Amino acid sequence: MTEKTLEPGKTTSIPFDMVSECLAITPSHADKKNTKGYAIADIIKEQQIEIELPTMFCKLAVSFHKKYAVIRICPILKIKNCLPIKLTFEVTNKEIGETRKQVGSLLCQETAQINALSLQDSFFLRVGLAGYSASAKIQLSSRKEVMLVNKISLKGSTGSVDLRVYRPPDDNYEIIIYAKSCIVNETSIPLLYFLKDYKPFPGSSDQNAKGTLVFDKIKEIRIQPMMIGGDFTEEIPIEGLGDRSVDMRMGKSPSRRFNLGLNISSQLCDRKYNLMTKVVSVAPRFVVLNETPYSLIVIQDRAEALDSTMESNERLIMHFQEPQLRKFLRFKIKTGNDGVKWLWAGAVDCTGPGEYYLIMLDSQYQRAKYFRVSITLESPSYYIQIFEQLIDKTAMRIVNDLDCLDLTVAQVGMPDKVITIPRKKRVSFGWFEPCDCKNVLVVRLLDGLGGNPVYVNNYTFDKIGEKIPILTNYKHQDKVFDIFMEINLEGSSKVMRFITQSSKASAKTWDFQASLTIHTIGCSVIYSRGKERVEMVYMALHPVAMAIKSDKRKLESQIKIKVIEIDNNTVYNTLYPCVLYPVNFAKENRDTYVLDILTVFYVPTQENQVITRLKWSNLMFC
Amino acid sequence: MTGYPITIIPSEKSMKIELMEEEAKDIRFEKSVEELFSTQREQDPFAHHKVAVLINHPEATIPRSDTIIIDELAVKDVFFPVSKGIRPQLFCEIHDIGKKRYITFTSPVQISNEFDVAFDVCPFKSVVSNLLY
Repeated sequence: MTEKTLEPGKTTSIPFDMVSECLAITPSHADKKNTKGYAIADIIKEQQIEIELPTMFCKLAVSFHKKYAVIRICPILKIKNCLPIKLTFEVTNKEIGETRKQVGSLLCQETAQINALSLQDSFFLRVGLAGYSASAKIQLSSRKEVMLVNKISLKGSTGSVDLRVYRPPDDNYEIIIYAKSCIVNETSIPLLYFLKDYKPFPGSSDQNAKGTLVFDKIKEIRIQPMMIGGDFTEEIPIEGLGDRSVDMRMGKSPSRRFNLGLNISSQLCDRKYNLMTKVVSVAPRFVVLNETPYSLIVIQDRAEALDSTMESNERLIMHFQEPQLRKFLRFKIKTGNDGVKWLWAGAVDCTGPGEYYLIMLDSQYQRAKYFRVSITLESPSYYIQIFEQLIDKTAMRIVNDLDCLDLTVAQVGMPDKVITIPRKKRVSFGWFEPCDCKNVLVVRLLDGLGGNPVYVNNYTFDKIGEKIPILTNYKHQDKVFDIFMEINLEGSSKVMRFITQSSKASAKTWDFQASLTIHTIGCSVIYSRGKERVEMVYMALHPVAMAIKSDKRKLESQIKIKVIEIDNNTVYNTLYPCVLYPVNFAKENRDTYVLDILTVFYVPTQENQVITRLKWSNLMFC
Repeated sequence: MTGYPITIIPSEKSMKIELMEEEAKDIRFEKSVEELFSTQREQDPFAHHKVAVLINHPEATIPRSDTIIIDELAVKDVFFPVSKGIRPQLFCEIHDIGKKRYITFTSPVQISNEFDVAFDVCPFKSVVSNLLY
């Protein structure tokens, strides 16, 4: 084995014919002048030894992997910072007058490798956080034993905080420092935190008003913006997990109000040992994203004086200012160089997730734009995304496929805004007020003479795939139509289509037919007494033809009998049987029958009709 | 992970794989005649797959090892025919990652670096010789 450089995290093997020799280990950057050798067999036997290298101490620990051994070059002690903030540390071998010492700072999730102390030393730890005095020195271990340390207290001007200490049961030389809880300010507003009784929250100060605080167990907080006139919020419970909403005020002016959201969740701060920290995230409650190509003006519904302008693809933190008004948002396209003035689109409820499809009209009612507003909660913030829908790809469309009638549609509760769809035309559609009015259409069918409504009803876009009859037997130019409404999906669009029966029905019909002809059906009535058998009556039907036929719209069945024969044998001297047959039977007209019954059953009509035609031919008795 | 280059000889004798120290390569096993004509579906797809190892020692000739069946996830001893000179001691660790089976030949001692600095590792004698030159 020649010299090998073992990079951090790497593993190599010692050739099998060298395991009885000595091993030299030196840091790559160090001088190899005073390198010592360590017998591999002794290392494996001892399982853990300490080696003193030119610039450091380190530990050779042996772990066995089934049949082979792994010599691990490890630091003497590891300290991991699982706090969300920077931690400073100092490890010494004595409480006072230390001869060995290692100091450093750790960002979140960083680990320090202690190599300045020997395994023969006692270990003392002191930690510090911004805004607090450094902790007292805590003894972690002596030469003989490991001390039980669960927490480290730090004192600050506004109170003290307890940091938690975790030592894995299988490794006393690893220390994990974490906090039970923390608050993260994700707003751009400097915030101060207070307890329920308005006392300062431990660690909250001007210095970290935009930063992160750690704490142990606190049930309620109040938040105050660090601005002139900043008022306290109501007390916010933070003990349980979940989503909170709170408004923060600046003085008494109604226009200086901040809508904040708090998300309280438990998150892993150390994945290996499943250590958890409760994280309270404070963030803006409403974020509007303009995904359209237009500049938009947005307002709180009915608060037109306080508008904000958003450029295309811009993000706006929305604060609903008027507490007495609903947290509904309206928007319109800002008047540009073309001079077109647009009206406000319908109000959208921002207090819950949802998806809304809106129409925006210009002031002349000549142009329309279609928008989709998507509201998602990514706690604690609601993201309100506004998208434009292209005319031919709107979520809802209405098609008037009728030749005979025009059509108007309006949203229920909005009778003044009516969209006319002439015959054989199609339009895109969006709701005028998606939250304030029901998402129901008032549909009117108008005849071509004076535009008189021949039919009015309400429909929604929900019944996808259904074909609903709306008018039957409508007469137009000597023709009779049945008119249907159906809703289908075309891509991602819901299309409401008005059609006549002839336009679709014929393509969808199916039919069947069957027939059966029996040459003769005969029946004898026999008198029986002892061994005597006497035929009393004989009756025969011949031939008997039966048929059934269906075209889905109706079901027809028919039975036909050509001749009925009856023999009366009670009188022994009967010369001829009695036969019923059509009068023209003798003329060999084979299409005439003594009995012909046809039944027609109409399926789709509102009242199923049964038409029975019973045809008796003229009979001749013999 | 044996410390020396090795040659892997799978059960199909036509195919050999040369591996330098800490190098890895894919092996493709062909189905044996028995497997091809077998009507029963094999439970373990590795049941018939075997490998042998040849250590390319710079100073000694070491005979080829006995074959090892890679049918179970374990650390197996690699046996060599008795011969004069060096007596190799190797292990074969078989484990799966996803659908792929990994076979690691290792010496009895590995060394790993958990520090965040690099170390130079060598037999003690070679350090002395470095210093001399």
